[in-house]
Amino acid sequence: MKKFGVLVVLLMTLFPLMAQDEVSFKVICKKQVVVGEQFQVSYELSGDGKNFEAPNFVNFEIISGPFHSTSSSIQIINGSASKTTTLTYSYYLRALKEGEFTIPAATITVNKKKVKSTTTTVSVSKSSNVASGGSGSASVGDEVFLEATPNKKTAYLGEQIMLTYKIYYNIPISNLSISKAPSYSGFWTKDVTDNNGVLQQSSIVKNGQQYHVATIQEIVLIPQKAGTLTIDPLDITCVAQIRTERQRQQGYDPFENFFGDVMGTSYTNVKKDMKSQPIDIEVKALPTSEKPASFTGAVGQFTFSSRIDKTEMKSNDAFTITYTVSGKGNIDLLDIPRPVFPPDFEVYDPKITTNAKNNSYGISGTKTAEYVVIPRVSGDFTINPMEFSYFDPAKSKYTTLTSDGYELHVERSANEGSTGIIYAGGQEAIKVVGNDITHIKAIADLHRSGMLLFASPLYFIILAAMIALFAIAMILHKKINKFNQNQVLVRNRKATKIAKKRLKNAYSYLKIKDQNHFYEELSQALWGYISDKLNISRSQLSMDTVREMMSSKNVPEDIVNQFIDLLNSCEFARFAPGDPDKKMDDLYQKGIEVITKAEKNL
Amino acid sequence: MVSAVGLKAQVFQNQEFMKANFYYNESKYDTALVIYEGILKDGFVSAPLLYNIGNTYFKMRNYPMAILNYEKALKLDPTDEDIRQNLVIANALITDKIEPLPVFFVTKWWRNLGNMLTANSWATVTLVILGIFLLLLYLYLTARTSGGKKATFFLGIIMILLLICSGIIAFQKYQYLNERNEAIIMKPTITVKSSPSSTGVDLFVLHEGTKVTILDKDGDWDKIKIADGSVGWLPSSSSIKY
Repeated sequence: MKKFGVLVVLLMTLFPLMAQDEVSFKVICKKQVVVGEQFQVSYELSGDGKNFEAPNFVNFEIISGPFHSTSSSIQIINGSASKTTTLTYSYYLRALKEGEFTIPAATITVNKKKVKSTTTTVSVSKSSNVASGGSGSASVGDEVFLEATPNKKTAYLGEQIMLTYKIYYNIPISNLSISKAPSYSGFWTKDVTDNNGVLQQSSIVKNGQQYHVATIQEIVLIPQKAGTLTIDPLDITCVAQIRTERQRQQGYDPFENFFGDVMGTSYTNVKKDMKSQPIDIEVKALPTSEKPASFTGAVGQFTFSSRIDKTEMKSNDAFTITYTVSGKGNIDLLDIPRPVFPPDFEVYDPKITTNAKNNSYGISGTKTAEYVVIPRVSGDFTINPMEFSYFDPAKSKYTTLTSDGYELHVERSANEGSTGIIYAGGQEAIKVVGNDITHIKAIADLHRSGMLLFASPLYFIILAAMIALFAIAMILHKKINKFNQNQVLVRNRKATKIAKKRLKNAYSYLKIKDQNHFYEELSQALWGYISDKLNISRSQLSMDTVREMMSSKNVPEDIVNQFIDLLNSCEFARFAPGDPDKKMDDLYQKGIEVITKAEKNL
Repeated sequence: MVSAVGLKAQVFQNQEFMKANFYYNESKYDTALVIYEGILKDGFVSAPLLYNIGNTYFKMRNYPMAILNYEKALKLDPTDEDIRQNLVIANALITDKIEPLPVFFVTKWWRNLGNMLTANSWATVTLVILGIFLLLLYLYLTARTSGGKKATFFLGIIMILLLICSGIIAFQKYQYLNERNEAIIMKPTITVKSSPSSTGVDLFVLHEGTKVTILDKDGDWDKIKIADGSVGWLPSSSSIKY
């Protein structure tokens, strides 16, 4: 056993010794690269080793690695076999900035001894083509890059610019996607990419190399403000298949070998980020001199027309008038001016239709404004021709087009005027709001709050006072009446007494034969008696009154006559002489008699 | 009734009124308003004062408060055309435009009659008619001639009728001025509910400046009616009553 083991060891030691005399560990890479370019760096060790230590790649970005592979070959020369083994460690690096940089040495342990590799320098130059020729390209190595190209770099405000993004590649790529789209601030944009999601490739020679090229996006940009506007970079990523140099081996990495080709090359999938360069666009403001009043923002080349569906109608019938703008330019953004209709024409908001098409020149199409109008009154009216102005950037000037005018004849309809109700409310409101409020009052006329006359104490006082007044009046009235009645009664009672007294006086005058006084007294007695008894006032005393009053008291006729005769006799006797004594006696007796009789009846 | 103190107070308030008018004419509406409302706080009131306050609010673009004061002024003096005019203008500027229900022509005529005089004038009218009536009654009772009796009787009957009419009007005015069952909405937007609670069904929406009549009360809720006859419930805090 021991002997066999020693033999193996001997053989094993012999082999390597036979195969190589010295160890070489060197670095292999390109001497000249461009900023952003990906390149391969390999460390090749002749022989076998372990504990590979990578260096610090300053100024370079490690895209991938390390990959390592071993290859060995056996040479049989003149009967003696020699075996050579090569161990390779590779990296993919990307140069970050320009300058001369050293690829540092790596170390590896061979036969328990640390071996250092060689170093090399790499010259990194600036990336080519910075926006000078009008296109921005990203130099991400030579294999794949993105280019953004506008069809013009100066434009008028409102003029359309076509921006095309193309990707150039000479290695297989896949999984193309946009990681960051620019904001296109200051522009109105429309994506007019016309590929149905399938990229069309073609071949082209660029920078002396053969490339495939595909257009990934086409955008129409219409600047909305004047000045220098910058189109920000577009960020895209893709997966590229990078060829890696390999020597045939029983595959450290079976996966790689599976994709490798027979010749010994294989591919690694590497993610690539690409950015387009920012682009400055010079935007000119539209000239203000000669700008027509009817300009409403249209930039491009256009035609303008109008159409009406009827010119003869009855009032309250609707008609439709359509204005059409068509051509190339900012169809989506322009405005068709609003037509002016005669008064009492009710106009509804127009229906605006935009029909835009994209082609390689940009956007073109038509825009129509359709108005439904109802004339509310009859008569002949003119719809004036309408002006539409646009700015032609190719000619750098404004053009004004005019549509047709129309003569309308509106007949009176049956229900004209009844629909004027619409205006009535509006009219009334306008009339009122047009006035200011009436001015403040100068006289305060203040009183204590809560002072109402009705049901107030004052009210009731007055009420009570009036009723009281009335009551008093009535009472007084009654009293007076009563008094008067009393008076009458008293007079009546006293009548006989007074009469008797008077008669007595008369008798005394009779005795002394005083005719005058006798007759006076007798007369008085009679008249007085009747007056008191019958409540006749002295002023109303007369023969007729006496007769009347006595009759109304149902005094018998003969007594009335007696009384009257006596009164007459008295009067007569007073003023006519006669037989005094006899007469006086006679009359005196008669007086007593008649009064007594009357008394019985009254 | 008119004591020396009372007279002095009245003079002072009149001065305040003129001061406020001055500020109003200088377009210093805030100041004018404070002074006007000071007069109210002191217990004095009149239709011109409330009208001026209404105008001040109007100039300050506070149309609901302007309407409130115009309505209060109109309550005191329904004969003032200026108040009516400004009320119409202010009502044109509020959000709600309500179509009022048509009024029975007799009711309308009666109302117009009542509005020809102020409440106090009507009270005075009743007293005067009563006085005339009592006079006629006295004459009737003391009339000696049948002609006299007939005349006074006839006139007396007429007076009774007039007394009844004016009495009713005076009483109605008295009631109207004493009760506060009209209100102006003060909340910008308020939903009128079908029952006095926030869970009631929403019936319609009213906005500030609209006049409502209060029909009933339940806790914090008022039952209101608007000019087109619609009825519903509102929180009491949504309106100011007058």
